[in-house]
Amino acid sequence: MSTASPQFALREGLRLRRIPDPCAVVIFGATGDLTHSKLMPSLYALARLGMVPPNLTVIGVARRMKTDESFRGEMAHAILGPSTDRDAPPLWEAFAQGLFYVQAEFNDPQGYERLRAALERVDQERGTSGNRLYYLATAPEFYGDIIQQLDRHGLVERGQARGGGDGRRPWTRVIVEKPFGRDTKSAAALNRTLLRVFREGQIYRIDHYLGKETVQNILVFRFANGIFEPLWNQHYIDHVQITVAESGGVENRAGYYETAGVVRDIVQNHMVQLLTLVAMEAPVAFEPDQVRDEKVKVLRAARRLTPDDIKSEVALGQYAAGVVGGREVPGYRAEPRVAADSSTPTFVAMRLFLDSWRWAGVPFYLRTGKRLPKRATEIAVQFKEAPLPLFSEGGREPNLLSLNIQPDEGIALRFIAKAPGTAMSLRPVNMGFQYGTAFGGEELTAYERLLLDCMLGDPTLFTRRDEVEAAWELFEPLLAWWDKSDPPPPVLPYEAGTWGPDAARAIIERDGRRWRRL
Amino acid sequence: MAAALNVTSVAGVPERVDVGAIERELHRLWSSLDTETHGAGTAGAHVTRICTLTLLAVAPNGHCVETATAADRLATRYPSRSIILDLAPHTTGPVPNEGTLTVELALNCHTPGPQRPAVCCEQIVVSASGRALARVPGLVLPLLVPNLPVYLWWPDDVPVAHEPSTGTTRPEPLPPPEADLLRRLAENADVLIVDSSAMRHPTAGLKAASALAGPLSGGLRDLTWGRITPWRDLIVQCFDPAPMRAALERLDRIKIRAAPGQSEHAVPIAGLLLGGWLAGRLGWEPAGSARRDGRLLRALFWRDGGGLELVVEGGSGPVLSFECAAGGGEPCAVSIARQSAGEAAVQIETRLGRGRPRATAAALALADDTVLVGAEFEVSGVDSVLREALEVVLRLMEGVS
Repeated sequence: MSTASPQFALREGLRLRRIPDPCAVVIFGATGDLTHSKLMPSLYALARLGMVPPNLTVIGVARRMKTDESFRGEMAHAILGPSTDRDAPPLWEAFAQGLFYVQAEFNDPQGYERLRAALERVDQERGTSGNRLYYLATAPEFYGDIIQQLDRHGLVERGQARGGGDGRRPWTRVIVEKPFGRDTKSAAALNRTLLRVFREGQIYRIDHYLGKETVQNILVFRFANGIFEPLWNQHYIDHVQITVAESGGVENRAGYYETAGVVRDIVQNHMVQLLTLVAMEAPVAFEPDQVRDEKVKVLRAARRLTPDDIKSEVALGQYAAGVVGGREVPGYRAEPRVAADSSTPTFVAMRLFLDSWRWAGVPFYLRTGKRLPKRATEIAVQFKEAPLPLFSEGGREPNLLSLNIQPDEGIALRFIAKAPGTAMSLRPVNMGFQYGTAFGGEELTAYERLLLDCMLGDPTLFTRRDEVEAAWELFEPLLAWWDKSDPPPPVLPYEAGTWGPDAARAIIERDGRRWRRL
Repeated sequence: MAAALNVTSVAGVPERVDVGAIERELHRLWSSLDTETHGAGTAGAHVTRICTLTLLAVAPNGHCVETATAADRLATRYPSRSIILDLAPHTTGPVPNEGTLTVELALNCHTPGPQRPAVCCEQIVVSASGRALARVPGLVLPLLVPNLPVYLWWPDDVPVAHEPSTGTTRPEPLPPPEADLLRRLAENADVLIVDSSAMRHPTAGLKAASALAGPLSGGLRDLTWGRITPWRDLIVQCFDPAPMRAALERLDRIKIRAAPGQSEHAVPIAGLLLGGWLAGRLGWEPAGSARRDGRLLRALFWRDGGGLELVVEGGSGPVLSFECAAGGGEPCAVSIARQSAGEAAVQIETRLGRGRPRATAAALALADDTVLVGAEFEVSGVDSVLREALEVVLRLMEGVS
């Protein structure tokens, strides 16, 4: 069977996903934590799995002076560990040959000339074909400079509405790390800066939550099974709880966290992703824009909080000293680089409503915080009780479907069964599915998956412009209230190792419900 | 690694095996396991029962333990009920010519990670000899888990019906009970997995297996095909850049080298399948059968605008290297070679036009049979690309011994 494009004929039937085009990945902020701990290990893991082309090339850009060799040595240490520096596997040697370093201040035109020369050289020597993936792993204040300088130096292939990758012209894509702005205005400004140079199809706004298998499985669970979707509405669902609990504290992120707080750090991005995936309508096709269209509709249907609502629908908290996992931990204000009188919230609980036919009247309770008793991310869908209680002994527990995102990835359905015996005694039982047990094996980490998707030109698991702006708009009143109130609004202390302040319980208990015990 | 928490043997008495006893014994095993874990009082040490498929694995002669271990390893990633068939067609049992039929059951448990409940899978080992082979399908078929796919793994020679009129080029006929057993098992499977590299007569074996698997929803799978899949991935990558892709249409020489395998004179089936894949995908037409040239097999193809030669060197072992070249206005050459048979990486060299060759290295995993079988569990439906490549190979090997 001969076709006009033999490449595609050969690709058919291959079990690995399509392999990306040869390309140069340019990491701005190459000496930072993210590069060491996530980006480079992910790229190497993809190379080891044979999921990227052997001539994949990485150019690190940062302000510190380094040579290609010292950059390679640093990356070997970060990826392979100190003991393997002298005994690196052959594959590492080949991978390391594709690592280069360019020293540049992010606003220095000469640095971009050096970058251009390096890119031209790797195109020639390594066959990267002019394909570029820029990864903005710097502090957000440098994004504007980097984007403008890339454009000024002709380092962006313009006018690629769908991100290129058609095999005829080289492609350019850019991954933008979070935080994507700090409110609606700054996010819109950053979008304008990006869109002056790139087309929307070239911009990949990353939220690593979307790279998690279990998050992607929400869509599969809902839309590949016929039995749940008919129940997935206000007729059968009583309420939904979304929890993102962290047992850790602010650790080495205090500088950022002091200006961000929990709403910007977790709610506006990660929790919004979970909310939209659990609440969206079925897309007409599993295509990037169709999926994202439906997610945006959820955000548009979300009822805006008025300043009065905030007082009754939201509880903000900040952890005080306590015990987590048997270890005494300091309070937030005693953490390094945190102001002694900081009013930054580290916990939030809130009630949201979606004004749509599907979800009218169904409350969505969201809670997230640091220094909670355990690390757990879960979406719990509680169904309404059976309409008529036929059995007198027990059996009043409503059905509950929990989608566990981490750490025990899986799905559990609670239903009622008869306990063995002569009495009609009812007990709740759990029917569980766990990823680790049902499928086993290793899966790609979130960063591996998202880097691969971007190289392949698939933006499904990235956030679109309107989505990110709609997410900011939804929480704008809350952020404005926190940012601009004078004196600052009350942020209630809670003991580390507990599930947040009492006010968080009040938000759900006044509706006759309670938070799940995780 | 799986750890057997409980092993038992039932129905060890010849002639007295019945399915009801096996199911009852499995139920008893599950109950005893429940009691053990709850009795131990270890918090969180519950047992999870998961089954995603039935694996029906025929152990090569004398390799029952290895096959059972492989099935157990597979179950850690693909929880399943595995049924191992340990067949000895020529062995006589206590009653001359009657043979024996015995069944052993085990629940093999493993813990997927810390604080995770143990996952337990059932393993049933059926040993049959002599005439008792004929009773194996009747015993096994009711044990297939309903509504889940059944994978029949037949790792050895596929029995081929004797056709006297075709002369001496056909493989020897295998005992009828085995052929009949394979037919009856295959009728109830969704996928038939074979390994053509392990066959004495791979082309005849693949032809027979293909016919048996024709009606199955998942069709035929070949572990040799699984071994060349990473090679196919790398070849596609080499031809990804547009100028290289253009050269693909001008190829005029391909040379594939394979390890000797069982015998240097055996059909180099892995290399042939790799060549057959390119030919099938790119629409090259075989210009007759291949011919032997010492240790080489040579085949000619017609393609748009000319012809090309495929040379396969070596035996039935795995592919060691792939080289191809295109002439015309801008010459092109690609070479992918494993430096040694045991190395999990390859050296790649590409050259286009008069430029310097570009060299790099890439991972190319050495997967064992267990991993290859597992990979088949992840593929649904018929592998039409394998079928296409196989058609090319069968045409090339027509009349070639």
